Amino acid sequence: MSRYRILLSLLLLAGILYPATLPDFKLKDLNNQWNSVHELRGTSLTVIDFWATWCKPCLRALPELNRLSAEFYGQGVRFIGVSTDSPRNSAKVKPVVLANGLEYPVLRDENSEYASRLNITAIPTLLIINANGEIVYRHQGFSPGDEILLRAKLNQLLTDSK
Amino acid sequence: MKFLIVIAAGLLLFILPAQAQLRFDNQSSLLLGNLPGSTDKSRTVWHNQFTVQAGPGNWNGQLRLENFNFGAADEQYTHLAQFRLGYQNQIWQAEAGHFYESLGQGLLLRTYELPGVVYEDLASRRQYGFQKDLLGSRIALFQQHWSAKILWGRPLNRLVPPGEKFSDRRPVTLTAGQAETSFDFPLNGGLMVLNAAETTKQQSYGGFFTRINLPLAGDAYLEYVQNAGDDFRFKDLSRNFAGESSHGFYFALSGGRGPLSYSLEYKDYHDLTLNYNDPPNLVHEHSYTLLNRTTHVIETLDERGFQAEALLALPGENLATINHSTAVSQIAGVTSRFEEYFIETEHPWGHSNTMRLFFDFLQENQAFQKKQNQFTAGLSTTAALTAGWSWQGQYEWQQFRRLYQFNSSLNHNTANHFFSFGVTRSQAWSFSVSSEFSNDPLETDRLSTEGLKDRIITVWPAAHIKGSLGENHELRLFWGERRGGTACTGGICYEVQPFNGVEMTLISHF
Repeated sequence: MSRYRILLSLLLLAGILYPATLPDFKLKDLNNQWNSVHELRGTSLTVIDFWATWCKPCLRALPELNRLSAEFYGQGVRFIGVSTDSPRNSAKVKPVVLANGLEYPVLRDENSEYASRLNITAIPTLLIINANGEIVYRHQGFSPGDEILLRAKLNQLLTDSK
Repeated sequence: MKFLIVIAAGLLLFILPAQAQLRFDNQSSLLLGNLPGSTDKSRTVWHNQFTVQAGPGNWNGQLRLENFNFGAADEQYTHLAQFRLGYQNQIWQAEAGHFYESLGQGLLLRTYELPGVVYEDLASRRQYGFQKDLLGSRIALFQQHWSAKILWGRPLNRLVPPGEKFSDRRPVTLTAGQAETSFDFPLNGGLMVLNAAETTKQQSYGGFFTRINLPLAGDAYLEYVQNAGDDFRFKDLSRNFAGESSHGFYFALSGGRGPLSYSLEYKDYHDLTLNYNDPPNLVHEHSYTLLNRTTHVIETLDERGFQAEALLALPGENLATINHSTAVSQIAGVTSRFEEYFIETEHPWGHSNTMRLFFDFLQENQAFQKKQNQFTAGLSTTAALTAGWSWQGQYEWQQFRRLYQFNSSLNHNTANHFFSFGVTRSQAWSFSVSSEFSNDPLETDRLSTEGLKDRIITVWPAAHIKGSLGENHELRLFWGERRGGTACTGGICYEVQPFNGVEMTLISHF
């Protein structure tokens, strides 16, 4: 018991010193091709949205994120959708993507392995990653008006990076 | 010695440079309250899960510590729930320790995690994280037009809680492999093999899958797996193809064009209860409270069925979902049948506001019990108040008749109601109240009276608060009564235990 406490203390102390960064991972896209998350990153910012077809707030967010993706594309911002749908629902991912007309890439994380690596404990969760690969913003849930907050956050982070 | 290893590991992580890319996550839940129906009425327990991950360069590693305290002495535990060391580049990936893996769509093998979900085992009353992993190692190769993976490991039997013997929690050793193509052709596919060895027996399985790109943005997927005896010789093929031996068949068709998108799936599973697989259920996963609880749970001993779903995108971002699923299972000569029809419409209104209406009809004819004419309907709405503020309201109603094969005097009508209302300050906090009402005699009948008193209404009121404490911490508070029953999250169905009291959860990322 005591050895776990010592380890815990050391790790907590180390955690304060170092920023969280985005690990690379290979995931399949809707066409069954392997994609590296790092290869899809934007030159300035990357927005990763963890969602699922059965999650109502996730579905509410999709059209708004699609609009934001188009709006910020020219500024080096890239959006990546990560569907956490298990095989139970994986046949429904493509229909939802088509119905919402999503234009950014959507990857499959069927065992929530990538979500686990990033300790995503609820969906939707949206991460913003800067050019250094650091996770600079975490947005959980989606309520009406959140698209305004996200737009403001992206503008602020783009300004800060210049 | 173990103590020194732990200290050394801690120091090593501490002195690594910033490129170590350390991430820390902690989820802590404290329950103060009672267990309805238990002779021991007091219940105060604390569950904590701490995860540290490091990813210097192409390497990655993880440690997860889990402990459970304050319950009875034999319930408490502290253990190293997971450890992993991995290496990955553009061509290959190797991992040792605890990891997750699937073959095909999970008919033979699927391990997974439900992040954030804490499971409570009814028998031991221990709480633990919802992760069903493999302990062993794997190597995966990624090439432009093909990929392959092999693994060796012991899958966790999720129903055996921490604190039990290792051999009880991980009784099976798996050796498996899969190879698949990813050419820029309309047709691709793969092969898979799996061997499961226990102390006294072993079984092997083989299978294949194929993916076909169809015109009009369509995709078809077909998977077949088969028991191959204890030595991969497929000796009883005629028996196997007659459907008498372990096998699984899954087919999915999905796509869309213009405003219409669709998916159509078919399943045929027989003797496929492997404890390390998770075949697709083919029943719509509902997020509505009453429908989520009364969903069909797959019977992998023998089940066939199909699911069809259509999404219709209408002008003004209106969206309609229509779903039908049917499942027929047979155990010991008794046939059970499940049928469900579901329709949901989504209407945006005002700026950023949404209203959803749904209607569901379900019938389930089980071995000794029949759920007849279950109607469920409801509406939910989410609307903005001012900048950053919004409210949500939801009401669901459900009615059905439960029939018993051997004692019709027990037959009864049941109605369930659920409502919730809440206010949210985006990314800051939210507050909501909810309640369920039911006259279901399975939960509300008083044992002290004769016969069923199905007019007794039971209420489960609750309040929920969620607040952000800075950018790195989130506090969730539940106060009230939680109705137990089946719950499905991320495609996985499990039992939630009823509870009265207060539950506080603190989630931290840094």
